Amino acid sequence: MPTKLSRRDFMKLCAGGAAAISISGFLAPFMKEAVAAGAPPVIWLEGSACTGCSVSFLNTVHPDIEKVLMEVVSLRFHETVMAASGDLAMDELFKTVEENKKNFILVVEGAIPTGADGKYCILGEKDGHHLTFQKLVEEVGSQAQAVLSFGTCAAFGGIPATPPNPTGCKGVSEIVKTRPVVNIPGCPPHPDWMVGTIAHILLYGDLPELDTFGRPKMFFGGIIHDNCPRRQYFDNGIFAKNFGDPGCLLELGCKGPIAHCDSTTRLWNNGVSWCIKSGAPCIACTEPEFPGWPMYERIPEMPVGLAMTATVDQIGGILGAATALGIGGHLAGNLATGRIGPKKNKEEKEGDN
Amino acid sequence: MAQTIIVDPVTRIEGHLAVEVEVEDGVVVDAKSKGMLFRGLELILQGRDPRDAVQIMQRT
Repeated sequence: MPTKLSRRDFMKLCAGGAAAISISGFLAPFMKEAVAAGAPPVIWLEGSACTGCSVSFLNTVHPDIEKVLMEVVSLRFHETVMAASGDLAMDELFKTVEENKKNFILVVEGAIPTGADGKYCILGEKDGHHLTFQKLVEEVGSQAQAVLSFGTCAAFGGIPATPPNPTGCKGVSEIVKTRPVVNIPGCPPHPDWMVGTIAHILLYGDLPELDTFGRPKMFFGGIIHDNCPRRQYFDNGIFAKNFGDPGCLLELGCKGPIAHCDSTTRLWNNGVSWCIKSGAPCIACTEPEFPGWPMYERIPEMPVGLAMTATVDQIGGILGAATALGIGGHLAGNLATGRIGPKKNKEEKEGDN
Repeated sequence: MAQTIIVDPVTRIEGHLAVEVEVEDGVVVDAKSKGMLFRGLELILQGRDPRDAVQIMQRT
């Protein structure tokens, strides 16, 4: 698909996480061109979800969401924003699928309940019969060019699939096996991650580079802990004991050391803030195991899948060593500068304060 | 003669809803609204750290 924006510049733009600048604002004119030239339309289905991913998508600030929906992305079906309802809505869905076989993008928001033959989530009716979400995703997904799982529920099962998983929820990749699936996890995902992934497919006709969990590397390549603004506290062994304290949030349950995403540099709400900047420990909402651990307990105690155990043990070991090193270094530094140790005299002590 | 009107899905709302209305001689005689999604978040919360409710129940 011809576009003036080179793939190299695109990746730079997406991975750069330019704070306070919405990437969708920059990409909009290019995407508009691609849509006008016949880029695939988008169908957005909601299953076992809280609609939070849609709300996050609607937070695309510049250009405003009306423009994005009408011009930038050819969105044909989305329950929460579409004008039609009932039969009219369902007709539009099936018409779009029929007219654009293997040439539309299916966005799935929410996990897919498979218990009780999928009856835990019904999305509309067809010919007088209830359509289960599971059946719909199987049918529509098998005819899509690509399937995008927006949010951790769609990508990995997320909150509804947490043990005991009462409704047998599964992620999209366990249901749609014949078409490529891109996971954009997050609870919710950042609007830039969603718009950026759609843009990549519209502009270049293929999927962005993915990691082992099917997440685009350009957004999920880094670890929160590596770029954390509170990292210095961690290195110095200063840990917050209560919410609102200065210090690393590890003891309050921060999962930053295992969380892959770029919120540290991208920031949220149009570059205003993000979880840790607001003093909230990271809950690792972009990880496949989310939320299978206690949110406010230190990480090594969390239950994780077999594949992850080794990694977490290693992280725990490294954390312990690093903490000891950090505290040791901090003490040594303090001794060297005379902040602790024998006091010289009263006047100097007061002067220090 | 009663006529049944079904609107499924009801759009522009958060969640899944269906409405079934029975009309007889231009008058509504019966109406049902149906929530079409069950996730069992209450069951998921059982046995968990109570502080997790803050994170999980906000996502209803």
